[in-house]
Amino acid sequence: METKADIIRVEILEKVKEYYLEKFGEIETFVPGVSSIRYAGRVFNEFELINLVDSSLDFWLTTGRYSEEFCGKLEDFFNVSNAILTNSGSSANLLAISALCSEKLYERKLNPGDEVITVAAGFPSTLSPIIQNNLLPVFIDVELGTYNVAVERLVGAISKKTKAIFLAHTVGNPFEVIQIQKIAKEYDLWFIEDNCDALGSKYDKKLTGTFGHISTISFYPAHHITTGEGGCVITDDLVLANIMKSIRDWGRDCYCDGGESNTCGIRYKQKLGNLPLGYDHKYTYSHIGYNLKMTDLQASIGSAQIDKIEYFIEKRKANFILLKKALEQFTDFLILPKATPNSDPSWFCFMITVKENKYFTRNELTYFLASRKIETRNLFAGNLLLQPAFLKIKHRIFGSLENTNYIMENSFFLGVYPGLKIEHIEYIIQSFNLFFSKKLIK
Amino acid sequence: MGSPVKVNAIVMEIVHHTEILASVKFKTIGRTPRFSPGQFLHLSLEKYDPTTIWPESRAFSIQSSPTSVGIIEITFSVKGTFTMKMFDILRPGVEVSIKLPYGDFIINQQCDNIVLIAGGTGITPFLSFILQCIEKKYDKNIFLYYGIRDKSCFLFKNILDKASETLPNFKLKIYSEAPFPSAQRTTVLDIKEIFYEVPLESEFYLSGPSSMVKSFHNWLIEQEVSLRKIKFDQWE
Repeated sequence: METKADIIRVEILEKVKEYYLEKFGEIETFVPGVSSIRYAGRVFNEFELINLVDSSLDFWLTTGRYSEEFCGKLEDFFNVSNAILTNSGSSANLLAISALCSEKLYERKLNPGDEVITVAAGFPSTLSPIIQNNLLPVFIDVELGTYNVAVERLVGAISKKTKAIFLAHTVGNPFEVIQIQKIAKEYDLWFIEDNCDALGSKYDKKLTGTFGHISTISFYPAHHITTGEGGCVITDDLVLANIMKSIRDWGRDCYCDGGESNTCGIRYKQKLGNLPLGYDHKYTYSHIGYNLKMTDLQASIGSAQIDKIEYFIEKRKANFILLKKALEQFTDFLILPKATPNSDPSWFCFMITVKENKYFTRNELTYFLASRKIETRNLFAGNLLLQPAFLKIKHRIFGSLENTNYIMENSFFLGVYPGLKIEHIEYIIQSFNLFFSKKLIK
Repeated sequence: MGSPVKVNAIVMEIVHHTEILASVKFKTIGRTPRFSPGQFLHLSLEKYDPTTIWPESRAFSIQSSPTSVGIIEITFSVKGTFTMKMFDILRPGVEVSIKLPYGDFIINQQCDNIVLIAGGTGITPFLSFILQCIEKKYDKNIFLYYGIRDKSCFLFKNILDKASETLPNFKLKIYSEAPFPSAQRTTVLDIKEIFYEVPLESEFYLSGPSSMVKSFHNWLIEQEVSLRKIKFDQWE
């Protein structure tokens, strides 16, 4: 039976739609050189706002019906068993690595000093969890153009102490994930895909994020879909899923969702370790954990965003293609991004590396673009080992990091996010043309 | 093995095996997550409002195959007021709320020798596994030891017969406290006897009354069976 509260809710949500159209509905006029061309940004319509307000009216706040709905949509999208929501992609990475150190994995658990193969050309939260868990990062160089590792180099980096591979599909471009999956199997290594920048990318027609033992996603506003802050871990392994849920939820042994208790039916009936018989299972801790949960408010946004994922992917690809076609004339000076063979990237951005030349530097080009209100970003931290926080970390480098260092000095990216319209892309292209005509004439 | 989901479901069929024992088949309304054999659900007789807390419910092992999308089956015996109410009101067409899947009583299908020991309705999580094995034409050793009080408690004969016919390495042994033709042993389940009957490198799965599970578990530990090789599902 419809209550007065139900009726008011409907009225509020109708007003939210009205508000959206009034506040955000009008398409902003692009004024070249005046309007900013962002590298990323949130793209939404009334459905995100309606869900968010609807969730706020529940005032459930913690994991609830929208979390359940969002998880379900993610599980269906990836065709996996477990999507575990977190408060960020970085937290998802932390969970993934921390899970591999769980005693519940017995002899397969990672121990302090065990090596994890990764790259230095990336975002710190791929590396930080390795250090935070007292593991030893082993760095290998990446290729210019794909910004991913070469498989042969990865094999060479494996030592007796190597226990895991943790790699990102750099800026949405899949690494050779099937080959690396095979290597992980052959050497009995854990394999984690950092899929934070690659939601919707495919390798051999299969979504990235579905090859590793665990994969991670970020829903930060710069990413393919957003919940503001937010992230997710994906796994088909129930043991890993339970470990990650435990570590996410303060380390507790119990798997009840917020607001629930005694789901197991034996909350007060177990004898666990040295705890007294019948000690409350909800307050039994099997891991040293965190609180990394997503709120239902965030999940409500995510649930509306994931419904748009196919459109977002296609728009990113389309923007990427427009930029690539237009900039191909400058390949004497620029290394343009190239998709890994057998892959279909859902691009995070458009990476460019400036070749050595006597006319201009990366910074000159990006300053010029900035002067025309075109945002660019470097490949995150560049070479992480040169960042102040990581100068003293224990690590091993296999081979050299020549390309990584080159990227730090010479690479940057442009946006391809769905908020960019054709006029934005055309203006970017015009700006490149102008820059090159000025530089080359001089 | 998906993330737990709360859904409404409609009773499709109910079979009253005895005056206190019944099996119910539900059709879920909405998205039902994947589950693994051995996992359980919570059933509430109230309609769930997703904006409020989950209503009173009880846990039941899922006995249907994970491949039977949207169809969920359980078996329950009357043990208190909740299950009594279930017995009385569940009829085809009745709407209930369920949430699933839960639990880590998951059978390691890579193991060469799987020993399933079921006391009474403790057989239900194993049925889900057996049904899946039949579909997959599973060929590893499965030893099912099924303990019942008497013939009236011998349920699921059709599934067990089909497993015996279809699965080349499925071995069934029924223990009944009262004699009847299908039972190989007229006694309660005997963990010692079972232990010496199965290969050394077996994994043990115990499901049934709490007292049975606890004593069998302790006995296996005393025999230095690794904790990793014993999984149990106990209900009061």
